Amino acid sequence: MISEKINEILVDEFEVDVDVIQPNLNLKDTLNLDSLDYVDLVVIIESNFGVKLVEADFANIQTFQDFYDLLKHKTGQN
Amino acid sequence: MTASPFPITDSILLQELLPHRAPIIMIDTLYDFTDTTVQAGLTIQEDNIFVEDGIFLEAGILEHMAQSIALHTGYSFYIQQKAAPIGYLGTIKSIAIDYFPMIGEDISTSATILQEFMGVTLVSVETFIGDKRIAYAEIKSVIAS
Repeated sequence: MISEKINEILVDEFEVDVDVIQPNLNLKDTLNLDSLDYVDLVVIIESNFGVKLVEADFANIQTFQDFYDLLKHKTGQN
Repeated sequence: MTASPFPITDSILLQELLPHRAPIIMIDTLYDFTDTTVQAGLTIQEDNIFVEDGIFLEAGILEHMAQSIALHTGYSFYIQQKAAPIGYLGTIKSIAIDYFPMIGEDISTSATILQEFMGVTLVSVETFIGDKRIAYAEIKSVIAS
């Protein structure tokens, strides 16, 4: 499932415990993302899934589930 | 056919392209520029403030790398006839320095923009002496709004 792969990538990149990642939790707050981190997030998503995220993609992203749904939509994966 | 403007070695023009001022200017040549790349150079002089015991220090290499990124921004604004903006070095994601240049050596740095997002630019930077790579870094820079 794409959500599992996303979690693996996030754990590795942002050095968090996999248990802190829950679909209903806030992505930015949970990973403690600042503006400098988002460029890393965009890079790792592009390198792992081949899709390019733009600023507008994040406009409606609050939770991890939102992020999974965005990438499911962009990649066509489940 | 228009002649290439490169290399640019005019110190007054280079100062216009960079927000830095002497004695902190660590670039004396702009070799090349594209939308996503820049190549800049510096000959290490004895009176360079980052030279100690004849060696160009780590801080100088980093400053030269950072200014190469600033030069890309400055030149892109220059060809649009706009003033160079102030930028900040956000983070250095990774860096390796294998050799410290000495007085009289010419270093050149190639910077490639890997990603731009929300005002933050991730740049891969490689510094060479001749064909030998002496330093590498990934740097995030931010332009002041």
